[in-house]
Amino acid sequence: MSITSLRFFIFVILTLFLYYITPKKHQWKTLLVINYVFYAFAGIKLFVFMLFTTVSAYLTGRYMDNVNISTNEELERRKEELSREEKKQIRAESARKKKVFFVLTLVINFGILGVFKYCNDFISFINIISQKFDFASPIPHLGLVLPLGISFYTFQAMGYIIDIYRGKYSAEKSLFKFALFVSFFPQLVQGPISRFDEVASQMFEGHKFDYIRIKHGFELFIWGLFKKLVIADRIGIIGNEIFSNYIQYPGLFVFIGAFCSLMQLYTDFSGGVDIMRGVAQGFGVILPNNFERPFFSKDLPEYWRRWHITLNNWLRDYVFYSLTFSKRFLNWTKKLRKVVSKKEAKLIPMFVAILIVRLINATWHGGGSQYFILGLYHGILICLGMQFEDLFRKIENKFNINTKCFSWDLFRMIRTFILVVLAKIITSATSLRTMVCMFKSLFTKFNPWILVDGSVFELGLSVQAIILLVFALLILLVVGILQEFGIHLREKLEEQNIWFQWTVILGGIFLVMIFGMYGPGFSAGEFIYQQF
Amino acid sequence: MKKSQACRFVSFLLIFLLLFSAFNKIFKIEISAGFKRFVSFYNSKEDSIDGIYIGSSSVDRYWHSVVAWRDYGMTVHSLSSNSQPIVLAKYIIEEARKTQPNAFFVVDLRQARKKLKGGTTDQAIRQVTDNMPFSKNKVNAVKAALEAGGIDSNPIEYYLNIIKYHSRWETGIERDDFYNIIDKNKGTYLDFNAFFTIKNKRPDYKDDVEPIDPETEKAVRDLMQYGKKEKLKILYVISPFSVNEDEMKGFNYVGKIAKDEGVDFINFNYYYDEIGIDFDKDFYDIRHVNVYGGEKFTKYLAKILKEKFNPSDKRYDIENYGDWNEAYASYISTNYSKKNKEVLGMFDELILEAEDD
Repeated sequence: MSITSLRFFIFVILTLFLYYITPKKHQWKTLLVINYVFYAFAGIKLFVFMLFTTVSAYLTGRYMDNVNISTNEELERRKEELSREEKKQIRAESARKKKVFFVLTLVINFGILGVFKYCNDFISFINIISQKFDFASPIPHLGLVLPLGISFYTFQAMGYIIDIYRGKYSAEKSLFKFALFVSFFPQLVQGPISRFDEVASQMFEGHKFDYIRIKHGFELFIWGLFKKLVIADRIGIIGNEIFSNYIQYPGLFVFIGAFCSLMQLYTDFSGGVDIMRGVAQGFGVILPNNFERPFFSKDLPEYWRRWHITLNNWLRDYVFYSLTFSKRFLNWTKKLRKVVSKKEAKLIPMFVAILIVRLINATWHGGGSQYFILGLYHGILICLGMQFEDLFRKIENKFNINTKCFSWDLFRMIRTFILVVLAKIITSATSLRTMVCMFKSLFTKFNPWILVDGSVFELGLSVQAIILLVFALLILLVVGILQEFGIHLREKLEEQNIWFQWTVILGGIFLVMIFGMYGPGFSAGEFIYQQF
Repeated sequence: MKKSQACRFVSFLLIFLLLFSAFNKIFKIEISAGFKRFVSFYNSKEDSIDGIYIGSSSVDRYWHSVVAWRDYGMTVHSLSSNSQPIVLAKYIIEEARKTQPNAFFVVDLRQARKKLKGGTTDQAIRQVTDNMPFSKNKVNAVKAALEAGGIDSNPIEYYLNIIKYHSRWETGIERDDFYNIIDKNKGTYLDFNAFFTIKNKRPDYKDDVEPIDPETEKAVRDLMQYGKKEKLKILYVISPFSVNEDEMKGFNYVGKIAKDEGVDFINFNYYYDEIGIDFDKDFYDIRHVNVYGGEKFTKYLAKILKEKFNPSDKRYDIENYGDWNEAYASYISTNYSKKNKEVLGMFDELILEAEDD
């Protein structure tokens, strides 16, 4: 069921109705049934994988929680009699007990995810090698259908058991409540990757029908549709045209293509998340925001703190910190201190951790070599930025650059934006060879006049559509700027007179209805992140 | 929810529905002669129409309703559209019966030669159903046409115009889209190409028979059985044109079906001389008569309809049928200006030779 379809809208209305006619105490049960019905629409056969993740994470969580509880009780009971060393020993014993199930659950669940996501990429790789050395006939790709939201619910459930392992909070006692957390349908399609301690209680508690909350959810829903149907599906046409016919479109066209593809990705992904956050709000659940205007970032680390926030936070908390605070890394830092300076000894392990995180992030999106290069590109640029930070400061001082003014911030934003646009060439190009050709063409063919000679009107969109697109992007920019200034638009709108509120909401609805790309004649694109 | 919030919500919903209905009317099928024809029909007074002529372009090119009005004072309005799927005829009749319960029907079966599956297009369905106001009959019509045509579309798209036509903002919404423009000619096709002339080959085929597509046959039989069951006055026809041998065999088969079902059927391809059809002068393309051919055919058919259904002469009932006189005046003016000045003067050199096959 496409989340931009009328069917989905009707599904949401009906389920909200069902939810609010259920007594508050039992609302979470209704919500669980709704989630499973939604999932059943995607294919009942794939349901088994979600059930497995749910049950395995629940049981592991419960087991580890019991170990945590008994360990804590023992420590508490024998507080007086135990020496520091003995306490440490008990904790180590507790960790050892938990580790077996913990690692097994992680390996099996990430293993399932890996098979679904990377099996065909691996087969392609084997085929390339065997073709090169001519030692075997090509292996056919497996016709695996990716279970809906597998990446999202796996990361969520695994985040939960890592937290339990670390003793961050207690495990959920009810299997059904935990199942609700894993299967909450608004986050299944394309995230965000929520944390148990952030959202679960909101899902489990009953909610009174709140007109304002539902209205705000609806406003977010419309905003998401605007991003997806008015901008993403339209701007994507230009990107596709340029990347599919890259020989025809040299020089600046490549940058335009990458810009359009990036804007498509952003509006598609953030639009989809907004739609689902709006729906979740209808059920009284505030899901975490996945994007905070990433194109206003002044450097790449900031960009990654604003783009796909929940995934990057997940990687930060469960991979980056696990690595940098691991014994191995700490010992390595100690050893490095003997060879290099103190600062470098601190930076080198961090660079390795950054590279690993960036590579995981990139390969999460796909197993192809282009994603590997993308991970390296971002990882290396971030590391270089950190390595030469002092040098940059010196240059700024030498040239007497005022770094505390808007123009400097603007320069940094544009610089970061250009770096991100260039990165889009890596993944949008149809192959590695194409990517190289496009980069070469971008930097060797000088044709800025295409911006004024009407060439941009021949990229698959009519003049009217391009004017609409520019107008829509301006709306996106203005909204982004207002949010950057800390203005909460929905709250601000709530303060206005009713006629103004209605004009804005109705304007939004009809803007999407008339200018959105949907219905027969358009094949409204699937959400890009739905395939993850 | 508080009472005041509920009131606000209901008011908002009403305003939304009002605006939605307005936009749904504006973003509709592009205005064409077919669209105006349906609007003209729906604007007719209740029980004011003697007959409804249903079918594809082989109706509006052939039936000059105002000529029949001039000669007999009968009001026979066409409800035709391009490539109109036969399966929809029943629903058009149902639609017509809502306001014209005593009307007789003439159904052109030229489309009976077409396969329903693969031969029915989304556009052909929409040219009928988009013009119908929402009703149970419309829902049934859409369902039947989609099923018969094997079209995998969501029926909701056929009830809410805006889903299909919202992108018309790109090609341009015109002033006319804000109004329901009526066909001044009571359903007669008088576009400029109807004033062209080409030479066509006069067919000369016998009574050989070849079965039509079984699904289409079922649709034809269903229609005929429906007419009998409802005790409707229906005449099934096939209009004359430069028919080829295979087509004639198929039409003969349709004649056989009509005989089986015991309904009235006339294949006018057997009556070229009686109608006075001149294959050198009376067609604007290989399948359609021009205005000259149309006038001849109308005179001939109107005589049959007068004899068969005996509609009363309303020419002197100015109060109730003044619009038909106005339509006739408009027809004369369009017809003569195009015939005598613009078209013949401008396009004499464009008179084309028909292909021999």
